Amino acid sequence: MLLIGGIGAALAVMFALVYLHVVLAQRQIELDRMSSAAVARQNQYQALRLKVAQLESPQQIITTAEGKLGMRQPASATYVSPPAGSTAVSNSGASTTSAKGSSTSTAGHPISSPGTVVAPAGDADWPRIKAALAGGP
Amino acid sequence: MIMAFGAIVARVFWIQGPGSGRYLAVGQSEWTHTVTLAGMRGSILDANGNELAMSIPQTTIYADPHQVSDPKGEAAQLAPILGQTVPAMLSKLTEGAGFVYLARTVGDATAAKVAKLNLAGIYSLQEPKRFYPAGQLAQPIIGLVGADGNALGGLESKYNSILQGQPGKLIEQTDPQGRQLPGGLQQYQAPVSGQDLVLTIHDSLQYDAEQALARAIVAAQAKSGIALLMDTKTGDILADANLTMPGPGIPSTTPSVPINIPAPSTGSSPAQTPTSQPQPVEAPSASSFTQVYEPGSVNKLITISAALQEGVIKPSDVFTIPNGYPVAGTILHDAEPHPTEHWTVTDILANSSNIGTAQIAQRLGKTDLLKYIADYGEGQKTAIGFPGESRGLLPTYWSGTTLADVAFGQGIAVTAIQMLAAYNAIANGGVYVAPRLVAGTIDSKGVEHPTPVVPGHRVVSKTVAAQMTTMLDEVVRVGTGTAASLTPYTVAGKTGTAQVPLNGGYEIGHFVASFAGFVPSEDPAITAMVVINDTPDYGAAASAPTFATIARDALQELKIPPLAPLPPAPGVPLSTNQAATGAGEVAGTPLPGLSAAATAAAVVPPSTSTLPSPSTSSNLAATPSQAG
Repeated sequence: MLLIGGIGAALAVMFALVYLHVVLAQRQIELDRMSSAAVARQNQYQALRLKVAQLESPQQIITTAEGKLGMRQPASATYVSPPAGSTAVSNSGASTTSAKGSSTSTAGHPISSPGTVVAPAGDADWPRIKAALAGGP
Repeated sequence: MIMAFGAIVARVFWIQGPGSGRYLAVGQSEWTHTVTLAGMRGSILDANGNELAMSIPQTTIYADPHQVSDPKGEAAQLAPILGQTVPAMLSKLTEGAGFVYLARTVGDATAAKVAKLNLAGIYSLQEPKRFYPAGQLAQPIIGLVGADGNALGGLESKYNSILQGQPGKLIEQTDPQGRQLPGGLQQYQAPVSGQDLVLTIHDSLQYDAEQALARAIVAAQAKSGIALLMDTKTGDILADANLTMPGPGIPSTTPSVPINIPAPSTGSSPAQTPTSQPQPVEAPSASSFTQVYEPGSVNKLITISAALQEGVIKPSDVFTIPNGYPVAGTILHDAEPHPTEHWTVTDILANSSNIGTAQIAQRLGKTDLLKYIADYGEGQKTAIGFPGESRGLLPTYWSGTTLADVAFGQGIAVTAIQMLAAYNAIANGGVYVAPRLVAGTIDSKGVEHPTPVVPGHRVVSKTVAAQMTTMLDEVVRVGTGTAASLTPYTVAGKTGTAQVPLNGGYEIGHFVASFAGFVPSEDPAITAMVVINDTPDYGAAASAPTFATIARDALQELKIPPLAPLPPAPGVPLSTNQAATGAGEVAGTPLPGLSAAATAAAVVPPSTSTLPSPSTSSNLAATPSQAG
């Protein structure tokens, strides 16, 4: 009786070990699959990032503007003077102009000043993305 | 029998027990692999965060020839996909090594085709590849990275240590197919990505500058050119174009930023079509930093501002300017013959008179002239420290004519960036601001680190800077620089025309034509410089219109409004000139998109032009003259 019990217990342990190995193998396969998918997604993101950068390059924009959209450089620029007392606000900052068209304040034109560094265009959360793009196991 | 059995048992006991270490080590070396994880190289970004250079993982195909079962068959399948010949592929697949590159950093489509073949002994790995999304835009500045990740010149080289990442390591136990063993050993050391480099350059302004410069080089039949654009207040370089015509060592097949050059037959038509004529390509190096040239008349800014600062002249002083002026036994001439004139300092600058400048230099003296040359940054590298940057050349021997020569930009050699910074000092109210090319870095955690600002220093007083600005306004209003006018903006600037050195002398009819200036002169926001190298044209015709083009584009892009003109600086007389004298010296081709004034100034109808050509206008018998 004791012998039978011992054999049974041994078999149970053996089957449990086999089962654990099977589960381990299954999980490893799943891990490999997910890891491959993660790498594929990262590569896809990088490829798209490159494509966006290429599409945003000046040459590409000019080619599209002139070739596809038929846009042309203006022969000359017309400068419009706003009415007296009005205030023009640009995207990058305020610029107040007088009736004669002269600027009384040129502060805020979009030239970057020392002490400012701009992250890659279009990637608002670049710090998080850049850290995630580092190579992984 | 018993003894043999006992020996076997003993051997088994030894192998499984005390002696197992050796065999265990051999086994582990078979299934344990160390993979080096490349730290991704940082990107190079323009001032707006647009990528100019970036590294992307690409698939590299390699083989373990020991595992290749059918070299001929696999070579026949792989060769067309990887764009190689079958014999070459077969040679790789039959090498004695256990690792052979078949094709590095191939595209995703190619990698997928190879994977689909599922060939024995053929594997892939990921390697970073450097891409330049804007093509060759600003390539002399950015530099290159080779296939092995080695930086080849430019900022890629200078900042290689911070751009390149730190590699990581992965130790894992795998099966023969490279799959990780379940529950196997794994040690991971994360790689560190390189830092991103953020430049002060704006890619769109860089593009505009390269396009305008390329047109100017072709129109002026020049060999090369430089166009620089700087933020007056900060010293940030917004654009730095360096182009050259194809020649020895620079094949015409080098890909370049495609340039739309007006076809000759289109005349004034705004439509532009690419022509079949040779087009400028990116220079092999950043000539604005590495190449020196005799600045010619643009250097008169230093002489005259120094004399004003030292109080040896006043703007209203009148000088007698003969047609020929003796200096140490040599007769100096201006670019064009003229009767004896009585010119103010403003007139001397507006007419770009060598004789007038020489007289001013004689009042100033060598010691003070050298002091201001140094204060303006000539003869020394900029704070940028660009790879291969030149200090420029100052005279080592001063003859009787050297003072006069240096005063109007001869016998001295500068880089374009030095001269740009000198003009920027006047634009900045007399304060020299160190040029800046790198705004900062972004580290692997995304933290931004701005580049420390190099403190500037005062060169001349605010009053002298204002006086110089008024005079430079006059150069563009009625002097040699009218082709740089940009109505309704007020442009302050100066033309320069130096002769090309050749075998200890000068090459007749070959000029370095330049224009340096700033705009709007009432409150300068942009300082720019254009250098057209080895052209038969003067600076007024070859460079000033290009200055106008790139300055106009920058003013529009940066949304800088025109300002109400300021009255002349107190005590500074306006020029007595009634018409431009320099801009019409050379018949040129109208460049597209210029103001009517600039276009008219750049063109002289051949039938009405009575002025000599540049190659004959200068009296070169004694000391070669510099023309404005």
